[in-house]
Amino acid sequence: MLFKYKTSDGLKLHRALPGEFLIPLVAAMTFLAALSIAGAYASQQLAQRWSAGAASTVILQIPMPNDPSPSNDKIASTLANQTKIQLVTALLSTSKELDSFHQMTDKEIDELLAPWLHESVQAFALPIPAVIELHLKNNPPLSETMQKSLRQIVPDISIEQSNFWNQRLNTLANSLQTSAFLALAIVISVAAAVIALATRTGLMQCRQTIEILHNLGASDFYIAFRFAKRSAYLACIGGAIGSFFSIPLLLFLTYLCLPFSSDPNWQSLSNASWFYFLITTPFQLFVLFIFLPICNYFIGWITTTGIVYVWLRNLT
Amino acid sequence: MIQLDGVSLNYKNDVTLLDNVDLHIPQGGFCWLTGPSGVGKSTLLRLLHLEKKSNTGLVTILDTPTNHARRSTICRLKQRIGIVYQDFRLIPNLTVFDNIALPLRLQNADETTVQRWTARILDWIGLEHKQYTYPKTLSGGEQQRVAIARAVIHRPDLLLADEPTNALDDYQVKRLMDLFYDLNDLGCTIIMATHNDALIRQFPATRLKLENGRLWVNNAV
Repeated sequence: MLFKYKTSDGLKLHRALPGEFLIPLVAAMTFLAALSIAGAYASQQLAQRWSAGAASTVILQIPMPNDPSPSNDKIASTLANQTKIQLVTALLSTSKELDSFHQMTDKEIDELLAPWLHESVQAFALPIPAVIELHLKNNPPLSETMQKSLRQIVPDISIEQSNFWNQRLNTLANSLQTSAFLALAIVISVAAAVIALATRTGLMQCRQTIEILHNLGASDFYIAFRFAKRSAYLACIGGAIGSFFSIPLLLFLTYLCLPFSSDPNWQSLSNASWFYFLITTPFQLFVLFIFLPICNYFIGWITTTGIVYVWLRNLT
Repeated sequence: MIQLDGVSLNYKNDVTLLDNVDLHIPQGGFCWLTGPSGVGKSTLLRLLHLEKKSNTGLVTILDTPTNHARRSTICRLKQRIGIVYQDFRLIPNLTVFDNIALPLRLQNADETTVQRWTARILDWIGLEHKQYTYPKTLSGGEQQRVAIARAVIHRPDLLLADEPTNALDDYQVKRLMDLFYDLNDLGCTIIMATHNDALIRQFPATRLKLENGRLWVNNAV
């Protein structure tokens, strides 16, 4: 059991560890930590999206899709009356390595080419190939057997696999994530250093009283507990303030990240209210921000306890 | 029981304050500690209070060998020792009441006991009317009485007093000695450093004389 009347031991910790010094510094560190966490989360999400989206997608381009297949292959000859697109579609329908496939409509191709042509592609009477988007069940690339079968049916087919870019984008996302975690580790270290410095200053200020208390039989644990409690409390308050102020910035970053969102109507969201971003911000991030003050409490507690123990050992 | 076996203590590694000192004081002993100024009386008391470590030799305090004792053991031993410093060492931002109550509170005594015992000792030192004042507003004699009250409130097993009568008048000295004798009768070992030969003659007890790093023991007749 600890000394019950802690305000009567003369340590006066509200003077030795003043809140006006520690709280703003810890709040600033928490703000940076919140940004690092948000960055790590965003890069993780981006990596996942790339893996689930571009990585597992293969694009087939079939020139002159409505022409009969030029192949002399047995399969093609048995289906001589069928067009290239019909043959490819038939093959894809029986494939077990595909999750789904989608042939882009004329409208979709129009939209895709609109930035370059400014008009409907139909107006130019251009020989536009048929485009089929394949969603693979497993990771790319498309199996060699499947590629061979496709080339047998349509020798001039173009198969675009994005796994080359996906590997690089994943590496980039992982690098971003590592950088964010590194930044977080640095921020935590700086916060701990600030708390350690404040504790040391407080100890120096209370040196005479601590010496007297120690000589009267106060244990190291008692003195460390008193300092740790105060410092952890201030770190927690600083953490709460830092977390609170990071939320508007987080919403702003969510707004900036809209073009990368999976929502196809992102352009219409740019005029949405802040409240919309507040409710659509990932729940995990809010939970993390609630945990930040608690983490600060423990960082404050552990750092201060360590510093006080070391200081007391050097004192006597 | 207090025992020093071949204890040496150097000050700043060149001045020898204690040179191979042997000492045995049984539990319940009463000793005067004398010697010229600057000879190291206060340092010896600090050694016995476990604030300093000897360079060589074995130090046993209250039957506990302290040379390799854990910090928690030292802390518990200190709670059984009362000390009156020459410079009082009161905590400036605590009231007289809280300064005196500190040893009891550090031992987690219940607050009713703290209030009762502190009120009694405040009454005994005649400062009950100043219990809510701060040490800096007290005279030297009053501060010394507060320091004495703080040293004895928890009924220590060992009392170390460094010139505790310096700022007291004859009447207060007589009362202080009565208190120390009462504590001694209850089994408390007392070591009291003083320059006052008249006081030693008035209250005869074993005399420890510290000179040139050596400790001479003269038993009272």
